[in-house]
Amino acid sequence: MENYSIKKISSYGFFILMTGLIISASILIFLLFKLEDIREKLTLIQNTHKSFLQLKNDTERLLTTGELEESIISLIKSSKKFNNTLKMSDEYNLKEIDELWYVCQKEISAIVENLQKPIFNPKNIKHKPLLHRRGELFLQNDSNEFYILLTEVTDSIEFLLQNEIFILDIFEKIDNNQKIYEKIELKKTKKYAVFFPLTVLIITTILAVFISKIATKTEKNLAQNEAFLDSVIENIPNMIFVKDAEELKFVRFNKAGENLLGYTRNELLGKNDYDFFPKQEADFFTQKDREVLDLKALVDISEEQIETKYKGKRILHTKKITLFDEKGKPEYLLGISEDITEQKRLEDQLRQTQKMEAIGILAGGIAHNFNNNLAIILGNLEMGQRKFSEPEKVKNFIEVAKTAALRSRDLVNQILTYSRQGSSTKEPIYLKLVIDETRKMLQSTLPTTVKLHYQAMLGASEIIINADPNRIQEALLNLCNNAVQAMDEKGDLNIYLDKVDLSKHDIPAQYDCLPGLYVVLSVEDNGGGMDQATLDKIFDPFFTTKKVGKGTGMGLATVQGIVDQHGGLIKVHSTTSEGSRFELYFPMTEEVQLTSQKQEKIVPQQGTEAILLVDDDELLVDLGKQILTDLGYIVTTAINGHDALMIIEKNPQQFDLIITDQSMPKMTGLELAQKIKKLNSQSLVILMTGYSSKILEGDIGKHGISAYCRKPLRLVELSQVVRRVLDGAC
Amino acid sequence: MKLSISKKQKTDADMRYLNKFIKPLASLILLLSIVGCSDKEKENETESASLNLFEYRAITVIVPNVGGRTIRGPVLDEAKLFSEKTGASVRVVTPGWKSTIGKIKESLTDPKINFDIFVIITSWGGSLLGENHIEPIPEWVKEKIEWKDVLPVYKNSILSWGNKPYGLPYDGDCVNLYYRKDIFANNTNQEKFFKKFGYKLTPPTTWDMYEDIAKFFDGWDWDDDGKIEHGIAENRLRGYGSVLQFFTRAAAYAKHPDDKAYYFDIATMKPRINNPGFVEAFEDYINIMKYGPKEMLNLQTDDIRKSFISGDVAMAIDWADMGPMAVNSDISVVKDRVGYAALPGYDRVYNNKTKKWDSQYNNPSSIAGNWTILVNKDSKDKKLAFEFAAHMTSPILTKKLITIGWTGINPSRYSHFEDMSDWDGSGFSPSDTREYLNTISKSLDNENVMVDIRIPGASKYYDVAGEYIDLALKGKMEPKEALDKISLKWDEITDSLGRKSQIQLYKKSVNY
Repeated sequence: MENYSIKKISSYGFFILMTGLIISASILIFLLFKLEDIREKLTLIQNTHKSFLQLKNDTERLLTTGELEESIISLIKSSKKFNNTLKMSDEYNLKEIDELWYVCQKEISAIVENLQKPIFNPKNIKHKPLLHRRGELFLQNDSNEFYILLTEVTDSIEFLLQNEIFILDIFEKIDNNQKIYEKIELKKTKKYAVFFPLTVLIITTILAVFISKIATKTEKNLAQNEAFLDSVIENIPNMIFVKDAEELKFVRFNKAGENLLGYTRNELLGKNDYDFFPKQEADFFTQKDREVLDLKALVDISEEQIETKYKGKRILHTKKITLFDEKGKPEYLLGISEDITEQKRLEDQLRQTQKMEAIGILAGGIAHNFNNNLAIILGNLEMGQRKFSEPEKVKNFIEVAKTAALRSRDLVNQILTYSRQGSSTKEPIYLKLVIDETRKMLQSTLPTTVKLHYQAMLGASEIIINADPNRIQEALLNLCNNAVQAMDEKGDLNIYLDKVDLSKHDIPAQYDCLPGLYVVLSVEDNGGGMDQATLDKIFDPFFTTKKVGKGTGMGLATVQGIVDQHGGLIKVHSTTSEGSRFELYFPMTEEVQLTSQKQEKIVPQQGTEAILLVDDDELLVDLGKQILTDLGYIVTTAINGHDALMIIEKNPQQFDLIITDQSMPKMTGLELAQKIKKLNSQSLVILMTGYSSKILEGDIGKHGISAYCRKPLRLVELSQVVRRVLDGAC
Repeated sequence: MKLSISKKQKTDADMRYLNKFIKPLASLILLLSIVGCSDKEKENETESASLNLFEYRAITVIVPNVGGRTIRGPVLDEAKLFSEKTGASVRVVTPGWKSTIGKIKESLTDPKINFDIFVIITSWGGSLLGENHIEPIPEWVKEKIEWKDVLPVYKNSILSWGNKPYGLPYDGDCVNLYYRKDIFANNTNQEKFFKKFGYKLTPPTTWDMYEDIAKFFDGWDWDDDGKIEHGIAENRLRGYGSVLQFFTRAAAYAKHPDDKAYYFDIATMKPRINNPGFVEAFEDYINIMKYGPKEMLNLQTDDIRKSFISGDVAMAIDWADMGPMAVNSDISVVKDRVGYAALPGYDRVYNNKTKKWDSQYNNPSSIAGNWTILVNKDSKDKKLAFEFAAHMTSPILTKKLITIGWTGINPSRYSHFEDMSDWDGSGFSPSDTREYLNTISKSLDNENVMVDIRIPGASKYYDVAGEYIDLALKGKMEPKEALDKISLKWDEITDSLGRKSQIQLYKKSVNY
């Protein structure tokens, strides 16, 4: 960029130099031409002067020579010659000479005419000069006609000579003037021949010095700037990288990038993503790079995963932008990545805390619900015991107890699902299903003083969005919790689902959303509402209107984060003393092949294989044995992992299937499974768990587990899972 | 690392710094270019000689060659000095006497020929004045030449036309008598003369006495130089000089003191040239020749002077040139021996009005043949012309010239007679200076003066007169016959020029 200044300065300098040279050359050429012209003029004048001198000599000869005839001829000749020469000098403005020459010509004509008279015969002239002859006649006192005419002629010649002298004077003056002029011009030419080039040289030198100074200064500044920029880039705690636009190879990396990725820049430079990262990641990076280069605009990738050399998988918030060359063509791609792994973890923790907080809020409701269900289960079982002899009644009691148990199981599942810490994965989902799930949970947990209403637009069941269902549920629950608290656990809680076409003007400026079809999930309460001051801060993290210890203030911040992650936006409408309405807008997506979220009808599956059942809860072991035996299987039990292992070690192939609980003291189900796998790699293991944060369902395959089931399972669900595993479908 | 200003700020600063140089540098180059192409004349001015008042200006002066350097010599000399002083080119042409008139006339009709100044005799001047070719003298010139110092006899006659001044006073011609006072004073000569003529030998006061004295000194060596001397030498060579000499003598006979007119009748322009006065004068004019050198027919003014100062003749009639020439010419043998007297008179004068002779002594002065300087009305540089003319006729220069004989310049101003010390170094003795100047002064005090014909055609009138006078002098015609012829021709000339206008012009010329 500094080079532009030097370029301009150099251009100016070159321009001045060329101008100076051209002017100098022009002036010198002009002066030289002038000198040539003067010389030519001088030569012409000198020639004219010379021819006139000849004429004057011939005039004098008339008086002094005895050869009159010859001198007359010479006079005539020289007169003609001079006349011609004078005409050639017309351009030199010899007007003064013209006038005198006119007089001379007349005089010459008269003289020649007189001298050609017969009286000027040799007898009278006697071959003597005219003046001599006149003197002779004077002395002789001879005043005859010849003498008179001779006197006249000689007087005429004298008159002619006088005029010729005037002409000569003029020639001399012109000659002198021309010579002086020539001298002056020559002097001037010499002066300027030295002066102008010298001036140009001086100016050029000054310019050169100046340019050199500027250049040095600029180079120094450039170097300083470069060093500064390098320092800035190197010390920025975020990864900065630059790729070339053609092959997306790295051309620049900073220290933070090296530290993050675990590669030196020497290893990185000249290579692309495919040289370092898993294909899936590299594909994603490349796709985003191309997107940036095509859009020629900043692309903000809020989260992307990257496999580092030493730090494992990291989550980055990356911004990429195209760098253009002078012609506006993409030349490089600049990327800045912030490692938000810790931030995400903290966010997750906070979210989890938030969830817990939500659950805490729901705890009363949850406890009440559980108590109710337990009461129903207990009561009905007791009644079944009492009415043992009445099988129909017993069956009814067992059915009711089963329903209550299932209800409790569902609630547990929901709570676990809600409170589970898991990575966010978006997929096309039917939003209505998520809402229904959440409503069920809410129905179970809300105080009876809060009326829950739901209204969905026509066709709401067909609405698909690309979202993480857990996050959506989390957001909805947060909003509902807030609404309940705002209503002081008394009032109407409304949930709406609608669809809207947002134009550019409908989208607040802080959202980077595109106009189009959006689904609107609204939560409305008739609580106390919020004033503008509160509204301005509600999405600020840790802002809360609750008493100390009653809330983290992260609820709405979390909702905002969830909405942002899903490319949506939030609008809030609130009127004090009337209530508030929170509207979550999510961009709709086209219907895609969804993995079926709808439940199929299942029937208990039977079998005859040998199964080892492991659980530290003896009641559950017994129950499980009874159920499996009832299904036809040959069941062996163990109440801890150690005992189970000892049984298997006797004959690792004796069991077709091992079903183990996860949460057992001394040896977890996973550890047991790993040990069994070592003994018999072909062993099939089903892991049963009520809750475990250590296991994600997706990780089961890695530990050699064939299937993962969450307790409590219904008999049909258990038979299905066992059959699928034994049949090798899992 | 010190990088406290933005890149843009640095670029702007550099550009401002550069602009500080660029603009002045570009202006400097342009200025040098302009200076480099400066005007030649300006350069010449600084290089060449100092700035002169009339540099690159030129005038032409015509002054006839009357022989030697007389009249034209000072003009030539002063023209050179004036040119050197002022840077002007003053070109002096000196054609022959006879061709001067022709050249002047030619210049008046041919636009390619131009004379800015005429240095001519007053008769030619009259012709130019009459035809309105002359520029009147402006006041600044009159002041410059101290017009008040010019003698009235010149101012009121020959330098004026219609009572308006036109001519600058170059030469104050006045014809006087010059005689060998030593020869006159010689006792032997005194005795002899008295014996022969019965009266004392003194400077003649009449033309009869002049003849007696001429006769007395003719044909013998009265100065013991071994040569035969003569009584007189007079202008007889055909030409203006001879005609003037005749008219000068005839003035005593025919220029009546009560009549301004001389040559013509004032009312009719009828020539008087053949009246009895002129006839008698002519007869005497012819008769006296026998007492001069035999080549007298070929003698003109310069010859007369030479004859006298060489000691060849006892008397001479001449303009005032003779005085200085006699004392400072190299060939003069008569220094301190020259006596000065007014022109002789005559005992009677012809009255053209009464057609009778008046018996009274008539002794008019002759101021004919004066040289004046006139500026051409069509001069291309009147200012320069008048400057040079004023220089030529300045009191200082003329005072110097009148003391040098060959110049032909004679006193014309009061100041010329005031300071005798001006003549110191001229060769005149103080007494001679006094006598010389007194004689001239007396002559110029005379109210009865004879001047030239100063009307158009003057040269024709003179030429005709010269022709027939010459014939009569040569004996080819009787005097009366010659004069009659002249009269006839003069009438023809008058008629050809227009009698009426000639009458008017003649009146103006005599300041009637």
